[in-house]
Amino acid sequence: MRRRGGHDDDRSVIELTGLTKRYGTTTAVDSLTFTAKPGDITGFAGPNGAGKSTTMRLVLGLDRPGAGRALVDGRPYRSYRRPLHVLGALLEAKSTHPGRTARDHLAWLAATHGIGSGRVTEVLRLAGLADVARRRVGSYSLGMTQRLGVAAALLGNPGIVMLDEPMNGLDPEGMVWMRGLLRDLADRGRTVLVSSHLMSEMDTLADRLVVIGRGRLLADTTPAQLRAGYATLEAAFLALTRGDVEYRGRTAR
Amino acid sequence: MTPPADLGRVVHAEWIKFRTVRSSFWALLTSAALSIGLGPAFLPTIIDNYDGDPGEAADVAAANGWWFHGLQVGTLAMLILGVLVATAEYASGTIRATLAAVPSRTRVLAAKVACFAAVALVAGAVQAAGAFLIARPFLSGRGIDVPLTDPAAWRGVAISTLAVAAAGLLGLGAGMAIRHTAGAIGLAVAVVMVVVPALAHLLPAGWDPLRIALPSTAIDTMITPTASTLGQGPATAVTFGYVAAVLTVAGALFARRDA
Repeated sequence: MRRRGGHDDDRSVIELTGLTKRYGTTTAVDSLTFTAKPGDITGFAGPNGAGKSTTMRLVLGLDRPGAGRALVDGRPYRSYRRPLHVLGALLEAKSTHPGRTARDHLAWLAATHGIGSGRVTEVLRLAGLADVARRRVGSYSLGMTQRLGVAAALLGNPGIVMLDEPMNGLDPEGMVWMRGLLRDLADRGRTVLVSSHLMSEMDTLADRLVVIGRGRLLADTTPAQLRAGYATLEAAFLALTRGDVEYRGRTAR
Repeated sequence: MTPPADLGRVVHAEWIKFRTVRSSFWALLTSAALSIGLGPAFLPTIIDNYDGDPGEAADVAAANGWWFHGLQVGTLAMLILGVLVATAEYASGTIRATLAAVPSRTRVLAAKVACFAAVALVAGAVQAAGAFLIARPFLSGRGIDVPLTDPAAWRGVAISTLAVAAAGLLGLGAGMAIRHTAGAIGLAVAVVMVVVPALAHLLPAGWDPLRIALPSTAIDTMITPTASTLGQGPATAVTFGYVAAVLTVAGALFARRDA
């Protein structure tokens, strides 16, 4: 039996099959196939421009794939009438109006699903924003904006959570909070897909690790397996993605 | 979970979005101030130029909407508000949150149209009724008494209300189609409402059918029937034809494009 929210259901997965997206002549995502499963924190890593954010946009149906498909709980995201109960997402790009308060932002999101104001208060408290909920989002630091994004993602109590660079801008307390939150969600059987550039973070946090470069799958493994033979996960990551780095800095001379 | 109840939720969400940014309030206030406040400024000239039977002046005033000339400016403010309701979503990135919550583009657009149409109708009714009520003392001062219950005057109020709402919806459609504030306001206000009409006036008389079918002329004719030879009824039909066309284009683009 399927339940609303689906987090007790084995099918609460994000499943990508041959997912491909081209913008003009650039292939942002190239035949990408992997699955994020319940109970796991699936790390999603890759150099800048590797296609992580595009992949997440394709999962949400914001962009249409050129080929392949992205299924959420067995169906395209766009086929859900109340998707916030199925998957909650934090995108890297800002998606809040600076003139609106955090509470009002969550209030209109809640209204689309008939979610009550009690739940809005609950996620504000969970994200540590209860005291600043009536301030306009334009006055928020990056870390506070990230917390609001997480509150929005959890609003519908979804079985799947997909977060793009959630550690961005968080202070040390925020990092600890985020780690605990993601671990807790996975431990309660939720599916967690989280992108990050912080390899040390991925090493301790992720149960599985998907690495992409130039839109293609480079590895679908565990941090321990990828790290094998290297001093750190970061060293292993750099070796793996060496041929697929779009932007590389040089040492100052 | 019937579709209408679901759409109602999305309309409610759009209403929360509208009322929780201050620019909405300021734009509504500006539009009303222009529509109501500018009206009396036009009246002395109109009265002076009237050379008909003084006994019929009140009827002519009601039929021709003498007090609605301010609305021709107020509708521009409403058009801009319509643009902003759409483009603010794209400028702020809120559109991503909107589509994550309501993946159906059709439902998002339908809810936006329903919500903003309601707002613009109320705003239009306030502006049109306000313009009429504020004009009455000015007219009686010149010996022209329009009864408060004059049916022709209130018919004008009703049609002008529709004109204000139509201008807002044209702006909303342009904003959804173009997505950038400056581009959409530039196209809707400068090109469609100002530049094209100005150029049309340079055309020889044979082009009159084209000139009177322009959106700016049609809206002006709804408000003040003497603006063209089109007539109020046909002007209303032409105006809402444009509204339907712009919203159809906006909907088709919205459904097809990446967000």
